[in-house]
Amino acid sequence: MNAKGKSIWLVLLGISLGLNVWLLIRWANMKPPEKPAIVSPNDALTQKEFITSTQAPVRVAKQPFEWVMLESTSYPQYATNLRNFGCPEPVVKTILQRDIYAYYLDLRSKELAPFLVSFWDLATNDFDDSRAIVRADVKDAETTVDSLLEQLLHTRREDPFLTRVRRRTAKRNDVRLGFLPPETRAQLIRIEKQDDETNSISKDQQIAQLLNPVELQEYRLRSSPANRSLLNTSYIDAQPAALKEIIARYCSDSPPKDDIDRPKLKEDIRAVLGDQAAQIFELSYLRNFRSLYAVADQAHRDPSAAIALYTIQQDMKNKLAAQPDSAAAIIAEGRRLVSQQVGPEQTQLLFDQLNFPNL
Amino acid sequence: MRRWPILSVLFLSIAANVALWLKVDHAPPWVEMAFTTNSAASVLETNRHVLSVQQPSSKVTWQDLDDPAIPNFVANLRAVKCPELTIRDIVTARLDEQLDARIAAIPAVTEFWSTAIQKDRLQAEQREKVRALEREEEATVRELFGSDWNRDAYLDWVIDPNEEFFLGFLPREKAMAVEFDLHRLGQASSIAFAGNGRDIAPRGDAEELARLSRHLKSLLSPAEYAELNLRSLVSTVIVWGLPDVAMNSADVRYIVSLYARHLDFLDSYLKSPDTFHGLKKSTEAAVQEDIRNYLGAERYAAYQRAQDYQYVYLHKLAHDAGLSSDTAEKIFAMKSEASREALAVSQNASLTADARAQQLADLRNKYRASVVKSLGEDKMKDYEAHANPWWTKLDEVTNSGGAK
Repeated sequence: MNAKGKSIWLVLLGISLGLNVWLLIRWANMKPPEKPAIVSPNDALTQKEFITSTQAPVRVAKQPFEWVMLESTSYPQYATNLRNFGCPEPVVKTILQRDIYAYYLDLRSKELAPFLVSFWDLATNDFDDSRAIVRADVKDAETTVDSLLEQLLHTRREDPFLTRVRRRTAKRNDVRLGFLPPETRAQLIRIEKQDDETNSISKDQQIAQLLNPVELQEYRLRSSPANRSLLNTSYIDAQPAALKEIIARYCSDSPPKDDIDRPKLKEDIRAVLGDQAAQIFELSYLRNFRSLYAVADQAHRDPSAAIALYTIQQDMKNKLAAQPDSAAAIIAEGRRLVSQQVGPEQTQLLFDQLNFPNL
Repeated sequence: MRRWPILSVLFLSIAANVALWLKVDHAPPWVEMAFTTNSAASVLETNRHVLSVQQPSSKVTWQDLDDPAIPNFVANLRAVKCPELTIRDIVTARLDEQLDARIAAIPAVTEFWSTAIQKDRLQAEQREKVRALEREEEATVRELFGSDWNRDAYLDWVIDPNEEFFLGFLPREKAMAVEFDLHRLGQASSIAFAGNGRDIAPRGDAEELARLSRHLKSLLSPAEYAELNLRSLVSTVIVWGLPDVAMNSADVRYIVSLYARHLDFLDSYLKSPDTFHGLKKSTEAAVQEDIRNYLGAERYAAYQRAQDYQYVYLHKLAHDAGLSSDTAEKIFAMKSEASREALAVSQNASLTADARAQQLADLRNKYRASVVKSLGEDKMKDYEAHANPWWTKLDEVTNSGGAK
């Protein structure tokens, strides 16, 4: 190698080494990543996993990040950025929905503004009603928001209350068929929903084939129309077995039909639970009694107090009609009698707020 | 010695260094690359377990921000400068989901063999638990964001533009909160009075109604509450609007203010529907004289006519059919005339029963034909189906009531 070649070689070597050293120093002096102080048990978990496996924590340098890096003036781009960032779809929906709604509300307010002054103008709000008028006024804004929601999120405006009710009751089972295993229950529901005329075998026959004898008996008792009267309306306080026995007695003598034979049901109640239950069954149909029961129930769960209040009420009404001049004395006596059945709070409620005995 | 291989290596080394330098200084924003570095999950063997882990990534992702502990979650989002409103949306949506899951876990009525009162009691206990959880969420939101914010209130405001029309006199945020309280009052009242099944609310429900009404009042100044009362009463007092009545906005407002001296709209929630209806009736009786004095005889008659469903329906029918503007008034006038004639026939002692029945039948036919002439046969069918045709009841007229 001649001197010229040697010097070129040395220069190149020097440059290369210099660059390597310079890059090494730069790399070593680089700021640690500006990852915010994020508190996440995931981090802890991840680190623990690495320690377990390698006995040395692996530290990953996170690149600087701010939320603004996700944002975009274009909704589709914003959605893409959020999804690429790993946001779960419900979160993407929450963020974009709110943004679209804010845009919609501004649009809607502008469209509605000229009409707000017409609130008291009832000549224009006649039978067509203001709702239809308002809907027409904000039609453009609604069209805009609906198309954005459909296009970006494949969703539509939802009534929040209905959505929540659905979420809160999603796991609730049909109490009526709760005694059956899930698979049988599902089959039974399918049969019940069938149109009877389209099948060669009747629903009753199909159900009889599906259920074992014990299940079938329970199903028939639970499907009795008498339950509407005994279970859905009455204020009788009794054990499940007793209530079931009443329906069994009722069904054993009455063919299943939609009309409820109330006198017979009342007698069945009397036979199983006694006179007071039969009386409560009858009184449960009266609005007055239900109101008084609500008051008595505040004090103690004794149905006899509700019956007593009802009796006092009827007695007072009769006396007031017969002796209107003695109203003060009748009311004072009624108050004394009521206070023997319920507490002072309920007595005050009845007389001072609810105009007892004329509720 | 061959120099070229050595020189080539040196050039390559320099080029690589330069490339590395450029890469360090000009790295593209990570968001653009987020999905180009998608690493597959690997399985990590330990002495005890087989753990599935993601390859460590150099990019911040949603997973780094998400945290089951809500305060940490909020802190993480704030740390990356996520806008406060977005944080509130994300976090309240999470809180709502958690709340719903907790509510769904509250034991429901599972005993089929239970009566109305037993179900009522269990449901009342459930409602108490739900309310306690809702209060807890409200407190959490207040603690995290320093204000009352309810996501459902916002969504409800979005879904129903009529509320903005109704509460247009309030700033939006306040109107939303008021609307949500009204909505909750409506729900609580319906439960408390079992639709219209009882006059007395169970204690817990009565307390909830009182709490909600206190909260509503706390949102508003006395003047705002008075305006809300007037606006709420207007649909109670003037149910069908006032078509063809010479009353301007100020007149309507004045009439409603007469009712407002006796009636508080909150009672429509705090009392049973029957009780409130009774209050409304007694108020109506108390203010009629003032209304008559204010409007004068002619306008008062028109005002009263507009309170009649049959007239208002007729008005709409005629309007929609493009009939002349006095059609409804003419047909309604026929009704009064027919009542007078029917009464005269009914009270005519010289008529036999058969003759009276015949004359009443003739009257029915005559007036039906007159109405058909005004409306046309098609609209007549509509009117007959919806407005309880009065000409069929001319034999029921009395001195006081006229045809029903």
